[in-house]
Amino acid sequence: MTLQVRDVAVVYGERPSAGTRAVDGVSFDVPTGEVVALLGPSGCGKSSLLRAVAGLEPLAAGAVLWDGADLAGVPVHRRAFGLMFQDGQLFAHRDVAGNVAYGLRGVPRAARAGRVAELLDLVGLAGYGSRPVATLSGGERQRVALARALAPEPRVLLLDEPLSALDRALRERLAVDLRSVLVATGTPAVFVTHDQDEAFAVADRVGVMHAGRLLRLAPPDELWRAPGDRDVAAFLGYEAFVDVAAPSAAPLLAALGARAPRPQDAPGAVVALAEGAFVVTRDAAREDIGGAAGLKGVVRGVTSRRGRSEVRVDVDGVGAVTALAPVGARWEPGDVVPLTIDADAVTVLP
Amino acid sequence: MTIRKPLAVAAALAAAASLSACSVLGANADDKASPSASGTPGGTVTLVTHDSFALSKGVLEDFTKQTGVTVKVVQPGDAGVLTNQLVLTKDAPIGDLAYGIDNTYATRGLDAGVFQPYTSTAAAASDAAKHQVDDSHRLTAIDLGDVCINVDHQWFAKHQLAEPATLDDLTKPEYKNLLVVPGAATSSPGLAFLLATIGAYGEDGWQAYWKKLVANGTKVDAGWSDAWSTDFSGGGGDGPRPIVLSYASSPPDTLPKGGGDARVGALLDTCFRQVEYAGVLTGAKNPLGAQKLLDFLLSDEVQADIPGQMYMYPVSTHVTLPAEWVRWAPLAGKPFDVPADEITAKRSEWLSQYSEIVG
Amino acid sequence: MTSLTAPGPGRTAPAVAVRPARRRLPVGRVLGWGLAVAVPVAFLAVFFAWPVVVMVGKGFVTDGRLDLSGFADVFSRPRTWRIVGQTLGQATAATVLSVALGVPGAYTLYRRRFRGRAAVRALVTVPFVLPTVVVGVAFRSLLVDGGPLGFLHLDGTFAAILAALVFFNYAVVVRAVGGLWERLDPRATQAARGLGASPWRAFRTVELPALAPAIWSAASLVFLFCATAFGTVLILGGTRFGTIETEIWIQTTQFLDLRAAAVLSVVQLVVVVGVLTIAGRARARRERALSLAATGTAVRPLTLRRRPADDGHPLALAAAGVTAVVLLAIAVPLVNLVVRSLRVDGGWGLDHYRALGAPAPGVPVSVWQAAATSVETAVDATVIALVVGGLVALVVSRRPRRRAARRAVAGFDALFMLPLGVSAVTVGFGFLVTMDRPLGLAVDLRTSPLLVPIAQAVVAVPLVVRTVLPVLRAIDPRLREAAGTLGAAPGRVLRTLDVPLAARSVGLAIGFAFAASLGEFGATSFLARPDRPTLPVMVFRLIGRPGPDNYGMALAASVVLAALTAAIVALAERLRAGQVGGDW
Repeated sequence: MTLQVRDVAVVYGERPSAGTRAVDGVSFDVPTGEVVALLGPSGCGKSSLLRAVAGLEPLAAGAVLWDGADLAGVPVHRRAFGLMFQDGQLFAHRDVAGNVAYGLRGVPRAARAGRVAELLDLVGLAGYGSRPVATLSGGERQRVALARALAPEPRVLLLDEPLSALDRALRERLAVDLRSVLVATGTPAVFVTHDQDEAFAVADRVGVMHAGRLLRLAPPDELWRAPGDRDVAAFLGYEAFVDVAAPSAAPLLAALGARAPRPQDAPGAVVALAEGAFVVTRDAAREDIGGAAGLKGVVRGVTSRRGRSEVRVDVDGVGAVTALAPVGARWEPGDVVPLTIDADAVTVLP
Repeated sequence: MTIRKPLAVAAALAAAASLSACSVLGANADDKASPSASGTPGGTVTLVTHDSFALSKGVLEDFTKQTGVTVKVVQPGDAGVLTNQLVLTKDAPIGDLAYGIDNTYATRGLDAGVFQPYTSTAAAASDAAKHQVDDSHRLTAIDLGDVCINVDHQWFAKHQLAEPATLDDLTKPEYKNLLVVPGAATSSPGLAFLLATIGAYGEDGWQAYWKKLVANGTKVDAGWSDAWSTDFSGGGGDGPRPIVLSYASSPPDTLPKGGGDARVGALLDTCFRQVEYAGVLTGAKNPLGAQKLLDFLLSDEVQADIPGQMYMYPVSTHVTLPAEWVRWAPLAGKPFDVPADEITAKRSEWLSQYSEIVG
Repeated sequence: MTSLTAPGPGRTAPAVAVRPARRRLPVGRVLGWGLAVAVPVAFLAVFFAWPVVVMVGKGFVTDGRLDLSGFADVFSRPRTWRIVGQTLGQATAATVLSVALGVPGAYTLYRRRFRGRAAVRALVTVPFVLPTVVVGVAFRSLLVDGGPLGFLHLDGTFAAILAALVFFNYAVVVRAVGGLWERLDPRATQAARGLGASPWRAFRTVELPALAPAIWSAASLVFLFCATAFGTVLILGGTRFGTIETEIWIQTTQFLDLRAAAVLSVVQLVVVVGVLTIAGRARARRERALSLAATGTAVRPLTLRRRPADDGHPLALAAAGVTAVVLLAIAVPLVNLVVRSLRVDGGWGLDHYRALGAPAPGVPVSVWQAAATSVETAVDATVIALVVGGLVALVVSRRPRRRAARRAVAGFDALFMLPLGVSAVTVGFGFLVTMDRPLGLAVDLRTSPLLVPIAQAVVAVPLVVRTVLPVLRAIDPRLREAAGTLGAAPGRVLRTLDVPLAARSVGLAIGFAFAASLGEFGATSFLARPDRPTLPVMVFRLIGRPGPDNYGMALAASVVLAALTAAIVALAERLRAGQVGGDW
């Protein structure tokens, strides 16, 4: 049981030849039980792709298949693909149970009530059935939308930025809940988001989209370790790129140890640094850490995130990067601080 | 379990709704006639008439009792609308008998071939013949009335001003801003008054007279009811103007409830005579019924009912007029006259000249 | 897991049998929409287009040949140009004035809360449905020399006509704009205020543009009503002022000059279509997704004293002031009507109201029976208008992908506005010459009681469309998509989403269709059967009969009609139950 997306293109405008290509030749598979996240900045075509899979946008080229059967000509309501919107799109004229039960047409009344209760329980809203949707909070609405989408046991669940409208804490908690619900129901899912933390938390595989194309699709850890190219790396949060041949790359390659290629073996490769690739050390004398003797940065500014300081530092030959700093440290812009390297936040792009 | 036909519901709704519409109507449509019955005596006869048509309760029922024919009345509008609709629907007439076409429109209907000949044998037929339009016997006179200038006696007494008496008087400076008339293009008494002035001053003289009227502050309203009820001082609306164009039969309506003299009087030297006709329509489904109804309109019962209901004089000289009519609403001895065929031929021309003068 | 990396761009797709994408023709859907288009079109074609075309055709065909010489003839008359100019001038001035006064009214009556607001909203709607004869009497008896307002010397002037047209159409603007305004999210304005805009500037630059579609929509309706105004112009302007409509009336009913009437009908059609096009363009250009708040959240109480939280108070006061003046101006003729209906023989009394129970002179039924007939007819007309208008709104609310289809939808919308812009005389006479054997059926509809509600429904359909359409358009398309992904077929989406959501505006649509058909006089007067007159026809007959009692009864019957209307509108307001209003 696999959803197959083959060379799909979505074009907006009157004539396919002249219109804007929102999605351009995208292919991927989603087998049963897998959650795929599509990650990309707004306007990269990920939502259009999702709508095309659901049957809401006509394909300009390519095909959407279910187990090898082309779904062209199968209208939205016959695809049994659940879709969940960013703002839930709950039916305001129905109560919570009425919303969840909407897709359960033809199910006997008692079974329907049971299924509604089961799903509300699953999303943590047991007993909310008779509540008008207008009385729900944002998080509750999304939970209802999730329950509603899952109720008819869709073959695939398509989620279009389902958590984006929520505040950060709620988003992080719901992302975990969402993952566990999808795993519990074994529903294959395509999850569209612009937040890499969310994508990494929910998905088995993460795809990065840019300008209508799917650049890379891989499990989260692999994607993180090997983003493949600079665009993907930049979107994942890699903020500085240094040519392997540059003198400033030497301490970074040294920190990577065995994972590092020799500059002469990889001409044109770059070292990519994520936030926190540098760590400010308190003890300037411990030069052994990371083996980067004498590595220093000039402080540009300091922010605080959950008690820990993040220091914006200028490193010679690298540029401005965000370094982590121990709790309680104080610096002023212009201070020169000693740095060490966290190898987990460094990778080499071919 | 998905519905394959979207909008099936909407369609069903539409069907149900139109059914319910019919039922609401059906419950109240009192079509006494069954269509098969028309064409035979004892069926239905449709009377097409103007919107002032009225008879006392029970009169038309008496006709049904006498003849077995039921009367259905259609009132499309004033005499002009009535005539024009009859002309337009000549090939598929909307009724069997027309009543209410007056001498200002008669030739238009006759020329269009709207009516078929019928010579009534009713008691008042000989009286009616005195008013016939031509000798083709297609139109039979039923009643008549005079359109005259009316004055508010009370106003003139209060202002110690002598009342006008003739058309010429109306252009005198002492009556400046005192006259209100309904427009000739928009009302049938208005047209009658225009014809009175044409009859009085001739085809070439009336324009000068109207210019003088306008210069003397005559107000021209759209319809009779605006003039009578709003602008006229004696018509119940307490308007500012004491001279109005109305009918010779208007004064009895201003008799005080407790008794006394009528507040308003008609100037009998300013009148134009309207004669209202009835005629069997060409292509009538029930011509026999139409003839019977025409005879009935000339019967003493209807003739006697006309003054009280339609404010016109019956053509019959046998019936007794209401007492207050004898006292307060005499007919003009010598009304102005314009031949009917001349009216038909020149109406448009006259009215556009008139519109230029008063507009 | 089948593949860990996506096939890169440019690489060929893996070996999966891809059948060429071919769409099945959804027969059921095509059939359903076909029906939704066909039913209203058939209705409009039979009961509007056909009669009008036949009637106009009569003017252009002489002796079986097409004769267009009428154009040259009619256009060479200076009177024609004067009439066309007057029509445009009158309608434009009245529209501008109605909008200028209606916008503050919409603010006060829909954005502010105060005691008796429902009653005031009902009051402003009453003029809209009063028969023109009655309004003529109400206005003229005030303005005539020696009348209560005689000192203004407005009788028979252009200003008097304008005042009456605004009197009729004020409610159209207030309702259209107010309905949107009460749901407009106030935060955009607040943001503008935060950026340093004065209340006036915030209104002008933020709120007014957001309201523009509703304003254009209302303005085009008002223009249509004014351009086809007939009784008002005749009664208040006498013979000095004329519109294309009064000219068509005179040419058709008095002169039987069908050639001139046909030319004028074409001119009227051109004017109406032109105005509809301009307004449609202007509206479309300004129509965009609006951020709407739930009804009530944006509505604040109206107080005379300034309260700390009440931003833009002077502006609100100014609007309230303008509204109060307009309300007074609307109330005066209505009060005048009531006062006059109580005048009996120089004294006062309820005699005219008592007389309403007995058969009226000249008409075989009593005023109460006529009122019952009016209500029955209006029920039928409303049901027809609701079905036809509902289907039109449903079709027009769709936004097809293809531009040609979108244009077709827009044209469909405009088509059903036309009955408001075409002469009632042409339609009424057209019925007479076509309905003797409609569609070849052997039923003479001309004297059938069925034709009256149909004629009224033709006029009420545009009002239903204008009321229901904005609500359907306001439904987020993604809501329908969500339903679709839950397995709901288009039919079920329609039934479970569009219909229940639109149903909330149906109360309002019913109220207006009902009120409009209660007050319809033009076409009805040609068709109503004398044994079953409607209330406006009854009033007209009574007022046309001499005698102070008939006059008094006519006024009393008018008051009954006004009260009936007000009650129905107030009821419809309640049915609306805090929900999305319509265009008006």
